[in-house]
Amino acid sequence: MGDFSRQGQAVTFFEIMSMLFSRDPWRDIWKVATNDLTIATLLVIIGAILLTTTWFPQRPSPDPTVYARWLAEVQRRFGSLVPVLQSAGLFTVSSSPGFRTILVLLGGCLLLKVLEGIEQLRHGLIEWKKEHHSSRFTDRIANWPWSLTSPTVATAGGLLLILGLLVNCLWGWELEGLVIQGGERLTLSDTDSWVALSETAQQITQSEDLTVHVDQQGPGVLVHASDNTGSVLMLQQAAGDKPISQLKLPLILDQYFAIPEAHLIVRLTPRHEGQPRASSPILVQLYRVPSGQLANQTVLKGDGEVIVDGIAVHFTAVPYARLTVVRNPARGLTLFAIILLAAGLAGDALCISKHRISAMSARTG
Amino acid sequence: MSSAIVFTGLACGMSLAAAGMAIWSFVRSASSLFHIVRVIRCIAGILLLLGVLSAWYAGDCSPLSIRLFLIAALVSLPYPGRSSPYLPGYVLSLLLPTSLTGLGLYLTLRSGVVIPAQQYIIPLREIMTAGSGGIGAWLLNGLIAHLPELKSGESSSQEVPLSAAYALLTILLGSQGVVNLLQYGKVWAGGELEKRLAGAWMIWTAGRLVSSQHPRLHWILIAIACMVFIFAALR
Repeated sequence: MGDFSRQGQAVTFFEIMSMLFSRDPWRDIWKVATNDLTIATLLVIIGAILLTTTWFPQRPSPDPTVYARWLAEVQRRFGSLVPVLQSAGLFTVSSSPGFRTILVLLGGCLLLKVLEGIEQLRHGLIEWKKEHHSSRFTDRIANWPWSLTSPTVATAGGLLLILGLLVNCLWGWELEGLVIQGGERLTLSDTDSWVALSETAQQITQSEDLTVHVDQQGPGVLVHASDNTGSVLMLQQAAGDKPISQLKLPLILDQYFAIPEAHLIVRLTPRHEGQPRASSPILVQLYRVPSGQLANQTVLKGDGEVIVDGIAVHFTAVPYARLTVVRNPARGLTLFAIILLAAGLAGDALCISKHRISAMSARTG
Repeated sequence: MSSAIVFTGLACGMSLAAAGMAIWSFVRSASSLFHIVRVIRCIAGILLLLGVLSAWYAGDCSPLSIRLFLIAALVSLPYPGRSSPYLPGYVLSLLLPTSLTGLGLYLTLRSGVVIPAQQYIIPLREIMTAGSGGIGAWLLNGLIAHLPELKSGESSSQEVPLSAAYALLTILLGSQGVVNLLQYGKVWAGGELEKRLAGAWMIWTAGRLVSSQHPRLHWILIAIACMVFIFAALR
């Protein structure tokens, strides 16, 4: 075990133990918790765990599709070692109680460090006021106790970041692969949050608590059919489904539906090279039932109509968007924390650099 | 032959020549040649940067090759040091950009990958990763070249590049976090890559925290962090 140091003196493990069992254990625990080596150790452990999780893909949420994809990936990568690695908990490190405990410990250490920093800064400011109360403004700024300010700001940023992660973990959620079509407004289950897509799928609006990211856009259609008398024919997407007068279909993959009264089956295929787009063309094929004979086919760009034996199938373009919706109640807090952390650490790096160089120069003459 | 390959090929040759000159000057004890080596190294770095820009513009090289060239370009930047560099480390530091550029050229010429410029849009994450890897490689390179200073504890001249690199990386990763938060609503949006960068940054931060108490541990942790940054950039 490494040595802890107190006021520049090396302290052995046994001394730490004796400190813990001394008359004022709280004070000693405070010293150990605010020691840089303790925080450094926790940071190394968290860093190592983060690096470990990049080699061992972490088990995802209970969504069966995502889980199946993850299982296929780990089996491809690790083969017969999967059960061993799984029992060692390497696929659940980031959600393990151990990892969370380390994060909580780090949070606790940073809290004490912030309190200590504020106290030191208060003393530093009293001295600064005494020495520079009559100085010029620029001198006062130049002599501000930056070496005490920036570490405290950075520590506070780190603490707020952990707090933000905790709040997000407790009350935040993420929904991947949400498909929405033009003109729709979806209220997300069990919440008041909503997402809406404009008719042309160009603009997304959402409730204030959500962040929405478009993963993919593609073509989609609103379909209805009529015979030569103009009466509406019912459409059915699967054998057990209730027939309906119109269907709204996002064309992520091929889609099929039947027009039972006209003995027709319609196949819709998005046609695109590379990434699909909202304006990608659609191949429409109509087959007779039960012969399976191709009755008509055409490529649609936008709205259109396909007619077979007096049966008209009308298509209105309704593009879709596949979204990732995130509700992070601590977004503002985390943003503030990152700015504090980055500003504090960058400032601290410059202060430490200046301080150490001058100390070393003084030592070496 | 594309201009990117010409620039990077020239840079590779110049770095190799600089390494040869460094060895020769050591054998002949001609320390004045070090200045020439430094100039050649800078020119090689500029050529590499031109090669990277050209490759990005024309889409001549694979993304990995571009990253390798960018890291090599950053490694070629001059590294401040008080005393004359430790020769084996210095030669190694000259060979590192040579080997990175050579590997990038080999990959480009072997695969013949040509990505149309309009299809290869450089995302912020790509630039950030290559930049972090480059900074890590530059610092590691400098530390190796000035190893005796670190051993003797007279490492004050290393503090400026170290602090500058750390501050820059902190700002880079912080910016990425802010962008992720605004765009995706969460700090982690790039999965494995961002975890690697964050892990490396945490190890570096730990190294900074122990700098006054355990100087050796300080340098070891920073060297590990640099290696993780390089590894993350090359994956």
